[in-house]
Amino acid sequence: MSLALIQQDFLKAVNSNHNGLCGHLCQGGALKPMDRVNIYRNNTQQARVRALSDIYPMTVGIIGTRLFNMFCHRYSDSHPATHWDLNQYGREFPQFIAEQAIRFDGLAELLYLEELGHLEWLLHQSYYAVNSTEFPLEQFSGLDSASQQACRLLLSPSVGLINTDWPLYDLWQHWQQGTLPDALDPLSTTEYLCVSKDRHRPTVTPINREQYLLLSKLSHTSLVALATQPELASALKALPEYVAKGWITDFYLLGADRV
Amino acid sequence: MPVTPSHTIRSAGIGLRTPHIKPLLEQDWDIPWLEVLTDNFLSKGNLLSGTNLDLALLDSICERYPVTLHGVNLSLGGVAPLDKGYLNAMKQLYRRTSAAWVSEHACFSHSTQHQSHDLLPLPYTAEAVEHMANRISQVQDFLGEQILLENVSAYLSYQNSEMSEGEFLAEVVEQSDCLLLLDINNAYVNAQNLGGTPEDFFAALPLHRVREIHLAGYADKGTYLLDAHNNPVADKVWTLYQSVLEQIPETPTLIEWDNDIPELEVLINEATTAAQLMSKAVDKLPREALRATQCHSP
Repeated sequence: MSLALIQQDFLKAVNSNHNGLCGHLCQGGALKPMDRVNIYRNNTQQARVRALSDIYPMTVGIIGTRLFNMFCHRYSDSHPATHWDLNQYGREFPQFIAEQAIRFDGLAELLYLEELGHLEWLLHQSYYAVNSTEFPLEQFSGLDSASQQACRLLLSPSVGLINTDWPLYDLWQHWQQGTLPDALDPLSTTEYLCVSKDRHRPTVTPINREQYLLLSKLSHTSLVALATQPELASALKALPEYVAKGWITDFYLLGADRV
Repeated sequence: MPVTPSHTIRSAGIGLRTPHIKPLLEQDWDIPWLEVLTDNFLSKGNLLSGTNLDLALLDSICERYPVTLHGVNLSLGGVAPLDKGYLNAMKQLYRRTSAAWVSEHACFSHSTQHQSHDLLPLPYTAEAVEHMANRISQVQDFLGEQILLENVSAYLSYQNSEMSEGEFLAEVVEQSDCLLLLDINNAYVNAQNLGGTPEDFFAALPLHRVREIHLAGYADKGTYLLDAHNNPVADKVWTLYQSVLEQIPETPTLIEWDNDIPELEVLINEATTAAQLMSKAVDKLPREALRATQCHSP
């Protein structure tokens, strides 16, 4: 049997209970071949459970370690990792866990789990995002007025946006103090949040709807086009503030070389 | 960029783990060197920016302690192409930390489609020898340095293996001209799980190529030993360590502890025990033999 086939069967066995590898293993000893393969399967799953627990600590706190780990194992079975970096594993976990939770008494009413998971993923992404350089103000100022108006602005890779009908900001604030609220009731109006990196640590800032819309549109809408949208008028005035905060870190002109 | 105080890796060090970073920076400790887990610092934002918290702390560590790099995801025995992005990032980290050397495992961990996040053993065949030796040569050419290859723990063996693990590693090392990282706990765990003896394993290895020794604790699962790195080094492993030191007494030794991580002092105590055994082994050697076993950075 070739090296390539052994590796293919081994990885299938680790990721999906496939037993093709067993026929190529030595027999004997206290363990059957499948038991031996399962040691690796378990090691692999444990690595993924640890990674997901690190990424989604608030979710662990809310549903408990036992259920969380069970969902992790199911997720691992249906979503094999494809990259060596486990910090990139688990993007679809919030949706997965929400789908699983509706089948469990006591979890079915936690309708905010998916949105909470999305917030946790953004916080995690923000931490590991490339640290951006400062906005090239000098270069931007050097453009003529028409070019400036044609520019599109780019958010820092550490910035993420989320809107939610649940008080996730309050929940996140509790978590910063090491606690969790007893219960979460839906909000009467949608909450808009901006995740960003404050020095080294990800943080959450409440923003209003106009700011959310503006930041969502920045990278694919020119400044002149944004200026024609009346609902963004007041938010546009805050652009220098976003630059100062490091939320906006670059600009580009369509057709131009530099970004 | 930090400047490592010295490239000298000597005596017994410990593996750098996240809970210990703060105490290591807040206090002076008598730790001769630290081994850094490469993969903990390769996440996409890390190496591209100079101010990520993880890297900022690592820079501070490297200013105070000599370090080596130890990776788990290069998949040296894998048939999928070497990941150039990973290799580039590893090289950047190697330069940034001024690490004395880079070590990796004699295993595979992924294919083009799947990732295991575990160290999967290879069949000990001529095909695998040639394949892994070629890849190690590629890595060494890219880094411009010899790397250290570590024997892995294993829970299964293949019918088509054509040689012992020791013979396999000896052949790979010979063909690729790399160095060895000898994990004595892994040798013990493998003998218990798969048969054979650690002594036979050691006898097959070119011990003069061993530049580092690993010691760790295993978990007894009843029907097998798990290389869990969650316990003190077992007495039987200490005994094996002493027997290896009789042949290579000054080989830098590292205490690994990855799960249920205890206070830093516990690891330092284990390292102190290793250092004392090294000193005893050195004292026993005739002066001429000692000169012949002096270790150098690769």
